[in-house]
Amino acid sequence: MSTNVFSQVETLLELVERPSRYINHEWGASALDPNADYRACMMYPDTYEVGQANQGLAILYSILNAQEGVSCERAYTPWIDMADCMRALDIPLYGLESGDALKDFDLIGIQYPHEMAVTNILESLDLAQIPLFSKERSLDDPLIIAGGPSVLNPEPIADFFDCVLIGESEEQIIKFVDAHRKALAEGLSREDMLFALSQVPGVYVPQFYAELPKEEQSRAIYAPIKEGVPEKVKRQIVTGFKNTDPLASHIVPYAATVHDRVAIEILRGCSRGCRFCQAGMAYRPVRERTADQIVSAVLEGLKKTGYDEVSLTSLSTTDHSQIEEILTRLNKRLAITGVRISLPSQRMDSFGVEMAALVSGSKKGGLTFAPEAGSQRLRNVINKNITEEDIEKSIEGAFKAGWRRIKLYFMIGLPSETDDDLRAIGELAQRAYEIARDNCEPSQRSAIQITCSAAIFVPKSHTPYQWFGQVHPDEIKRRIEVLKESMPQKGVRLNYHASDTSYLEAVLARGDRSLAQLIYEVWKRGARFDAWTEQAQEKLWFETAEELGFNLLELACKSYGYKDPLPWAHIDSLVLNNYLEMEDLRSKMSQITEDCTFGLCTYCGVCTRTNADIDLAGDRLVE
Amino acid sequence: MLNNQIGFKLRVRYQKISRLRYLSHLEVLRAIERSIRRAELPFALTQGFSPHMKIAYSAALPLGAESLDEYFDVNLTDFVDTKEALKRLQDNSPENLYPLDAKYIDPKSDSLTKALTISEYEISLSSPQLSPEHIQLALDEILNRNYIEFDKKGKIKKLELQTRLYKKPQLTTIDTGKYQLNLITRALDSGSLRPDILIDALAREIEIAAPDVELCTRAIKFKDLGLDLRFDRFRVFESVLIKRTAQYIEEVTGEIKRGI
Repeated sequence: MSTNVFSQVETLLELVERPSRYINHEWGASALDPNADYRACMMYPDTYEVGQANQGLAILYSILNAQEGVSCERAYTPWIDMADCMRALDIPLYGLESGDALKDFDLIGIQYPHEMAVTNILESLDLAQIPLFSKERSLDDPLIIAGGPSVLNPEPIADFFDCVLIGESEEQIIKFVDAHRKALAEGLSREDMLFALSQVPGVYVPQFYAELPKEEQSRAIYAPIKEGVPEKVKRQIVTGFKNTDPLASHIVPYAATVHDRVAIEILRGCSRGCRFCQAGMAYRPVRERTADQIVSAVLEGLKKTGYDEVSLTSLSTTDHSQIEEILTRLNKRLAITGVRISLPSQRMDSFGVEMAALVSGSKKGGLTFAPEAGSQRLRNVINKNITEEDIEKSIEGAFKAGWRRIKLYFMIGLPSETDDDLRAIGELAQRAYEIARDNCEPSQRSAIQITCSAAIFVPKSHTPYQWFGQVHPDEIKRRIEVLKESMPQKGVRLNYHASDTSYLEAVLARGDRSLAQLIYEVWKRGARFDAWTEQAQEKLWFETAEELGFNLLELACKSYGYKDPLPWAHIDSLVLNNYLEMEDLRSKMSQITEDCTFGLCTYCGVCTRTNADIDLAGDRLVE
Repeated sequence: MLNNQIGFKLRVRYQKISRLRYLSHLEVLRAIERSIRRAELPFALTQGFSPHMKIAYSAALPLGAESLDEYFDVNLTDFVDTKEALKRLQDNSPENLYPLDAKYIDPKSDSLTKALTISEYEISLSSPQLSPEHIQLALDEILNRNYIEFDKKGKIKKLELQTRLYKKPQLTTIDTGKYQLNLITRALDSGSLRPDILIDALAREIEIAAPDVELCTRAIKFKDLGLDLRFDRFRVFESVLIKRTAQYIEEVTGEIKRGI
C-alpha cells in the first residue's frame, strides 16, 4: 500500500520558494493508468526547472506511460528550503503525479546528466527514505537505476545503483521493464533478478563486477565476478531514430523552466569529431529526421502546448542537411503568430550566420560562437574544423546582418597549449572587434559588445583525450594571466571561471569506484546542488577528500598511457579504442580528421560494429 | 497590417482554485497566454522587436490565495462569437485555472487594474489554541490604530486603513478554532491592503496581546529545528486560506458592480 504525502506537502507550499515546483497538474501531464501494476518514476537530480526541461527523461516518461500496466511519474530534487522542511516533518519524497512516496514504487530511474549532480542523487534518494547503497537495499525497496550522458563512466556512482543503462534507452527501457516485471512476477531473489536484468543489452549491474587484482588488469580495471554477465557492456543505439516521436514532451510547466519552449530533436549524434567532446563520440552515428517530419512536429507541438517558442535541438543543428528548407518553411508557417524559433548553437561559418539570421527576424539579441581555441594550430589539434577565414567571415556576417553582441567560447588547458595559443585568443578578440567596427555604422559602434568566455578543459572518458591529465591549477592561474594580458584594451570583455569545480568534475569524469565513499561523505557533510555556483562547496570536497586519503588534484591531473588499465574500459561506447588512440596521435601531430557525414568513413567502429548507420535526410554539402 | 486595427477586446472571468492557487502571478500570466494560443483565438500582437500578445490582467493575488473572480482582457483581430470563444478557452484550460464567463467590452474602456478597485475576500483561519476574543481584540486594536506597518523587502511601509477598507472587516466563528474573516478592500494608487498583510499584522498583534498563547504545532517543530517560517501568520494560525470571492468596479456614486 502506498502512502500519499501530498496533503502533508501542501502544508509547506506557502513556506517555500516557487511552490509550483511541487504541485504537478501541468497541462499535458499524463493521467496515470489507475490499473497499472508496475509503478516507475523518472527522476532528475536537480530542481524542477532544470529537470522538467530534460528531453531524455521526457522521452522515457512518454514511452513508459504508453506501456500496458505501467505508470510512470516524475520527481526532482526539492530545493534546499523544501528539502529541510520535508526532513523536519519526516515527509518522504514523492512522485509528482500521484503524491505517493517513492519508496513504494517498483522502479526509480535517475538521470546522471553531469558529474556535479552526484550529491543531488544521494540527496534525492535520502529524501525518498530509500537506502543509498545498492547493497543495503532489499526486494522491499524500489529498483534504483541510472542512465544519461555521464554513465559512460559509471564507476564513481556504481555503488549507489542496482543497474546502469548505457546509451540510448528508448527500446532498452521497455525490455528492461519487461524483464523486471517478469522477475517480480516469478518471485526471483534480488540477486537472481539483477542477473536477469544484466542479460538485457546495455545493462550494467555494478555488483556483478569487481576490481581485478593488479597483475590481472590489462586494459580494464573491473571485470565480471559472476558467470554469464557480459565482460563489456555495450552502449545501446535506438534503431530507427527517424520513426520515434519527435515531440518528446507535451507537458507545459507553470514554473519557468531552463528551456521553456517546445523542443524538437531534429537530429541525433555529431561526427565533427572534436577530440575533447564526449557527446560527439558517444552519440554516433548521425541520424537526421526529415524536413517534413520536423515541420509537422513543430506545428503539432505548438498547437498542443500553446508555447510561443520552439527550439530545434541537437548537438549540431545547422549541420542538418535540410536545415535551410526547414527554417524557411517554418518561417512561412509561423509568420504573424509571434512564435520564435531558436537554434541551440551557431556553426562558426557564414552558413551558420545565415541560418541564425533566418530565424532571428528583426530581433537581434546575442550570437554565440565556439572557436574553442585561439590559434589555428590548436584548433587543428582539437579537430575543431574551422579556419581563420570561417571565424572572420562569421563575425563579419553577424555584424553585417545587424547583430551587435557576440560571445566567443574558448577552453584553456587543452593538450599541447602554449602561451602563444593563449595570446592568439587575445589577437582573435582584437580582430573580432576591428571586424565589428568595420561592419557597422559609426553611430552603432558604442553598441558593440564582444565577450570572450574561457572555461577550463575537463578530460572525459571515451574521448581521444581520456588519457590526458588536467593542467594543474597553479599553471592554469598563470595561463589566465597570460590570457588576460593578451586581451585588447578596448571593446572586449573576458569572463573566466577559475573555480575548483572543474577539478572535481575531472576527478568524477575519470574516477573509479572508490569515489563513492567520498561522494557519500561530502554529501553527509552538507554538499548538495554542487552545480549551482552559490551552493557549491569546493572547499568541503577538498577537505573531506584529504581526510579520506584522496588527493583530488593528483587524480585530476594524472595522465595515463595507452596501455594503462582504465576504470571505464568495461563500458563499450562502440567507438574503438584504436580509433581514440589514433585520434590522440593525430592530435599530437596537429592533423585534422574529417566529419564522416561530409566525407569518407573515419573507422571509428560504431557503424561497422553494430547494425546502425549514418542516416541523413539529404546530402550534406561542403561549402 | 492586421495588428494595427483596434479590433475587439474580450473580457474573460476565470477562477484560480485548488492546487493552482500556488502559482505566482507571472506563472498565471504565462499559463493563460498558452491557453489562448492553444484555443487558437485570433489574438492581436504588439508591434516591435519582440511581438507579444496584447493582453491585460486584474491585480495580482497573494501567493496561495484562491479566487473565484479573476479577469483578463485580450485583444482579438477578428470577432469570435462569445460562447464559441469561451468554449474554446475552456477546452484548453486546466480546471483549476478555468474561464467562467466572457464578454466583449469597449476597446477603449479602462484597464482592469484601474477599473476593478474593490476586492472582496473570505479568509478562513484555523487556530485551536485561540479563542474568538483573542482574534477580535487584536483586529479591533488594528482597526482603532487605523494603520498597519509592515516589512516590504527590508523597508518598513505604513498603510492607512480607513480609505482602504470599503467596509469594516467581519469576524465569524465557524466552529471550534475555525474562523472566517470577511474583508472588502479598496485599491489605491498609493498601495493596496493585501489580505495577507492584514493577516500577518493580526498574527503579530495576537502575539503581543496574548504572549502566553501557544505557537501552532508547525511553528513549534520549525522553531526546534532552527528553521524559519517565512510569514508571521504561520506562527499563530495552523492554516490560513485566502479566497477572493469578487472584484468590483466602484462608480462615482459609490455603487459597485462586477467586472462582467
